[in-house]
Amino acid sequence: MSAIGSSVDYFEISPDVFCVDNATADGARSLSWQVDKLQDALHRTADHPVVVHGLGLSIGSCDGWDESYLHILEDFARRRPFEWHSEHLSWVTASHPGDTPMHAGLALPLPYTDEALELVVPRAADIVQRYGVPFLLENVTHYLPPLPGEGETSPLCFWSALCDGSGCGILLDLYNLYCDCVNRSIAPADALEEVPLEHVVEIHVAGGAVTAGFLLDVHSRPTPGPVWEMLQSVLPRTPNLRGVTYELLDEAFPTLGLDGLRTQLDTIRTLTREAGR
Amino acid sequence: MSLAAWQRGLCMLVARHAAPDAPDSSTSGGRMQLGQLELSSDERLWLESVADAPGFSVTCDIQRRWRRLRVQAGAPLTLTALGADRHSAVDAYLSRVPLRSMFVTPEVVGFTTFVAHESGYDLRVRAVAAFERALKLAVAGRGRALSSGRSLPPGTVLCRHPSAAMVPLPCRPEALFGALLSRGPLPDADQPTTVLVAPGLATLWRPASLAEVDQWDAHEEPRLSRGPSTPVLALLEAGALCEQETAV
Repeated sequence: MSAIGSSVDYFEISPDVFCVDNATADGARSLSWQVDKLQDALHRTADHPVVVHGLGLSIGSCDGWDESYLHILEDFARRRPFEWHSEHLSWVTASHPGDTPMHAGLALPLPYTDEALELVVPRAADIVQRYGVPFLLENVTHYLPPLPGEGETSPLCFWSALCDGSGCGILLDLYNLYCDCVNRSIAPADALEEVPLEHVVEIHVAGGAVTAGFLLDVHSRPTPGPVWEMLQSVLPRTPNLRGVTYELLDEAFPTLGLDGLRTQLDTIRTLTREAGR
Repeated sequence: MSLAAWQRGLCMLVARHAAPDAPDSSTSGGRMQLGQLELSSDERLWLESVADAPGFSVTCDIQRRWRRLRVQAGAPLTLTALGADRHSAVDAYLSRVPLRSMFVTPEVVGFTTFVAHESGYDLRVRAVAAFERALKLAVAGRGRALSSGRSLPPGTVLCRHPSAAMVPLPCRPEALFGALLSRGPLPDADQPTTVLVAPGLATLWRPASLAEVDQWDAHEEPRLSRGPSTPVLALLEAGALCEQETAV
């Protein structure tokens, strides 16, 4: 991180990454810090603002979100105030009939329906109130056929209602949206028309790989050209944008290398400057 | 729409089809029984047909792939000890133990527990799995408070630290771990030794004395301290025993 400190305006931290999950066989869980790792991350980012990007809240689980994540987030906020924080509009857990907890192992999508809005709006509003800094929800990609109920509400209406109803903002993951475009044969411009861009506070860019004919959200490669084009397209139309973040898995860093990482960051810087941001 | 029932149905399907021995969804035996879920007709139809969609296979593969990666990253000793059985052991684990968390530690603890309790594996392999499980829990337990025996007030109740363990090994630990590091044949199981694995030890483990093993056994249930003896003090210093309220 020290090698790229001068290339970035902030670091995005996922508190979950510095935690141990003390899960038990009955599914009860509590997160605790891996103190050494957390201290190291806080030390390395001490000269920059941080924003938080959570992984395990499961805000869309009908059977309840993950309270242990919120406890960790509260503790993190005491250690290091953050500019804003975000999570995924998705769910990862459900209860088996008989109340045995089940874990999907990946972020699964919520359908754009009124029922999903009724579930998520009060939860997002609660989080907005609780921390006093912007709370953003990120669009996730998925590889399933069109979900039941899809078409009941357009993505544009859904996201607008979610933001207006809860006060949350949008973390627009352009790579996820691009995956949707590739996997479902949608034109990127059409997909962007379904995003209420005035609510976008942060943008993610990344790159991934194709498996079994699907472009996957794996953050393993440089950002592909069409995603840069999408970024160019939205930058002039996102009046409340505060940051653009490049996402990369730890495991992929040796392949990309420091120069490759700098190229990604420099491209973001160039495009945002060209857009007058 | 009954979103909760749909989520339960989809989660059940993903869990079932992510298992390496998942049944063929095109057979009647491979079809998930969704009758107990209160689904709309659209949802039921969707769930009954989704397993045939290519994207569903990719979805299940993602879960399976992450679980394998977590085991590979977090259980090197057990996998080395398993040798040629490593792939079948991971497959058996993924098929029989449901996913509980996306974090490494619960997955590694799940896998090592599975191997340690599977009677079909060599005794030495099972011991290595039990040792690696204890190591993982001890590392995770380092964030928890430890107590020392320096000044235990009268009436203190002592118990085992939840992140500590006594692990019986069938051979000398140096010989066993040396074989694992050099990927050589495991030593004969002819020198049983018990090792203490605890979060307060700088190297996380050391051989345990017989007196320490006795005291460990004596604290299977929380126990009132009557002035700590030398082995109890040693276990306290190692973080193997703690005051009862510390263990919560």
